[in-house]
Amino acid sequence: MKKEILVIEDDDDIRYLLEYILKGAAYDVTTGTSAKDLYAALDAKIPDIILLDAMLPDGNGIDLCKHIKENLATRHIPIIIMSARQFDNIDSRSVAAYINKPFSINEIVTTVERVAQAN
Amino acid sequence: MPHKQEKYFLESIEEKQALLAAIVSSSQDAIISKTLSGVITSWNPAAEQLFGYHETEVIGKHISLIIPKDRLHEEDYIIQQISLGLRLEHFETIRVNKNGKLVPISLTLSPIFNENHEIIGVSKIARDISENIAAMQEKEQLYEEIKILNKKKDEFIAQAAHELKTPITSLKGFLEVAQKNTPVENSIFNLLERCTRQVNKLNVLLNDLLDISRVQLGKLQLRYEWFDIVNMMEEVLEGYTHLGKHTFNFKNRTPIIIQADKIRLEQVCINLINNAIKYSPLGGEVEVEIWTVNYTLYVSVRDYGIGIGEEHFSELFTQFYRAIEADSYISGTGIGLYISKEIIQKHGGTIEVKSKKGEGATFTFSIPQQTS
Repeated sequence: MKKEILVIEDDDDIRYLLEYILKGAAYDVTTGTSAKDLYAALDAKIPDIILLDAMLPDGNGIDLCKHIKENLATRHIPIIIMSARQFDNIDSRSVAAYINKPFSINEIVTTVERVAQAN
Repeated sequence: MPHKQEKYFLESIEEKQALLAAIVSSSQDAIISKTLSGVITSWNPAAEQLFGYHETEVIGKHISLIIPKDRLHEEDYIIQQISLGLRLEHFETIRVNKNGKLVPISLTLSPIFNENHEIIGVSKIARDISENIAAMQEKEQLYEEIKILNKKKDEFIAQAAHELKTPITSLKGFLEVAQKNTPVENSIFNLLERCTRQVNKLNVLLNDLLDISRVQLGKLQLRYEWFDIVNMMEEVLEGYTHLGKHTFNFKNRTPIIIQADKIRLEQVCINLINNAIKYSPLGGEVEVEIWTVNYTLYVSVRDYGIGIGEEHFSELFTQFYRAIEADSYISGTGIGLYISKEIIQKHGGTIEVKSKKGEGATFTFSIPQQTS
């Protein structure tokens, strides 16, 4: 069965690119643009992996990670954080992997693959 | 103006007193005398100027006339010191003038002795320092404003660089997708590869800008790890696949395990090698050497390019400085060596240059290693 990735990224083109890459690598992809979308998507269906932008218009990825990890229904979902900033103060226990922007296609595919296999 | 004939030794007491009185009355500083109980006994024109009272209004009055209420205790302290025969110099305080306006002054107070060496009063020289204080306050305010502006500038650079990363991320991604879907033999493939290289250059420039703001805001942090720096250098050199006119000569290749921030040291090495290539436009050898002496690691990069005049050495590692003219055909931002120096210093090390104009340059950095 195809694994399902929830991609939350506010930039339209980067979101389109991620969807394109991940669908090409045979994943099911759901997308959203905000923290609100993230929670709505989690209410509708639990994905296998969350690919989360660190800076969303209505919340920052680090806080969102904490929320997801505090909720019994979602705490098992591995989260991959993407950011253009250096990851200086992230609690590494709540994050499965980091991806620096700009990324290469290969980085996205191998990181998602590695996280998918580990879980 | 005709001068009276000069006369150095005054004979009579009257003459001496007349001279002293003239000095006091023409002084720019307020000169006041008072008894030990604080009653004013003399008051020169500068005192009138400073405090607004005419001599006739204050002689016989108590000095508290010009002391603000919340500073009356100062007078007790002054009298106590004077009674002990001590002087007070540059005592900065505030007095109040006839109009009730507060005047910042610097006071020098000395006891007045009679012939029997008994203290009979206090002489007081007051200088208006309101202008000094205003100038100092203005300077402090300007300094604060500059500090705030500078911080804002660094925050703006950081913010702008991050914003620019978003379009670069999608550009780089789409170029890669397009390239993957283009056959290598198609001429478009080569164009896409060149586009990608330019986007990567943009990204490096942005990272430099981010580093600058990180250094300025005190946010440059090192992540120490153990690694073989010789191996790291080999990997760095392997990355230069389009060398053309240059060749690398990497000496002593035995592994040297060190503890440092690998990514940051790699950044410094790449910067030095890029400079070596950039500033030897006619090509030639770039020599790289890594060695240790007495628990200190040394890395040097030498080129045989255009070299640097000694007059540039002191500025070479400062922000935005370039040793060549701004309109030179060799481009650059003047950031690389500044960041390199910051990274090396953060490791407790130093970086230096040896060069002569026209004879190439050698950059060497050293980092102390633990003696464990």
